Amino acid sequence: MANRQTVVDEFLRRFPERDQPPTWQECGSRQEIYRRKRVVKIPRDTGSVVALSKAFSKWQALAPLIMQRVSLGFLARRIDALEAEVQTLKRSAISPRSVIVPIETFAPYPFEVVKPFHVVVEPVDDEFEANLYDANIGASGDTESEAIANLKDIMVNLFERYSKEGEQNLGPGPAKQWVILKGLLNKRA
Amino acid sequence: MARIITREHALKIASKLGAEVEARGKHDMAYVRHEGKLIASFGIRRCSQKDKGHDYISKALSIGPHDARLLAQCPLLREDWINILKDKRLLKSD
Repeated sequence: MANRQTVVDEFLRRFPERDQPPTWQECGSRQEIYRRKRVVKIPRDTGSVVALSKAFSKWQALAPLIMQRVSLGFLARRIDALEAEVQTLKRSAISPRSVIVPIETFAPYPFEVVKPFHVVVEPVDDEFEANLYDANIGASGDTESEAIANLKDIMVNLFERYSKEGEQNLGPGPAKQWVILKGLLNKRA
Repeated sequence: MARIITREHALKIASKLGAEVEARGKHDMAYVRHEGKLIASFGIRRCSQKDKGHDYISKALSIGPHDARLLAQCPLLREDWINILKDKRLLKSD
């Protein structure tokens, strides 16, 4: 099969005066028409053809580099964004969050739960803090269960103290705590 | 959340507020009185490590962790704390 240069040479030899596409009569087959139509658009000047060819080959050489740089920049930005997203997800997945724990017993203390209630346990550095926010009573511990146990201990201590103290000797804060504590726990007879 | 009030701070706060400290269960319970009435109470964990967290004390005193820290250190006095409680209407004004 003839290469492009051969086709150009042949066309220029056969139709030296033409710069228009060949007619049906001038072509042997559909394939020939297609090939010649393309060939006609190429400038006759051989120098231009060479220059175009050179430019094209340079572009061919540069194109992968340009594409590489564009895609590397794009990829770098995308990786940065993904890394930030992964870090955020990691932090939220690894760092323990506050948990709400139901309290249903005060064993081994001689107290019973009047009605089950919830406390909030949250991490503070490498420790945990359990809080009964309604009554402003809190306690900390090395583990979640220790923090809850310590909170129960403080609640029992306050209950006993406030019951001894008498309501008339309590300021607004402890008075509120006393009302809440009485609603949550009761000393076993 | 960072630890702001340690056991050492808790003991200083109890001492600064003139709290009555009572050893009960796992805690030393601190009771603060004002004009004969019990106005605040909090537990101090009984352990040898001075840096154990006691951030919950600020809630028991009805102040922020920063003020609780100032109370443990020099700047905030017992009178200032009483005034804060009065401002918040957690104590009757004179």
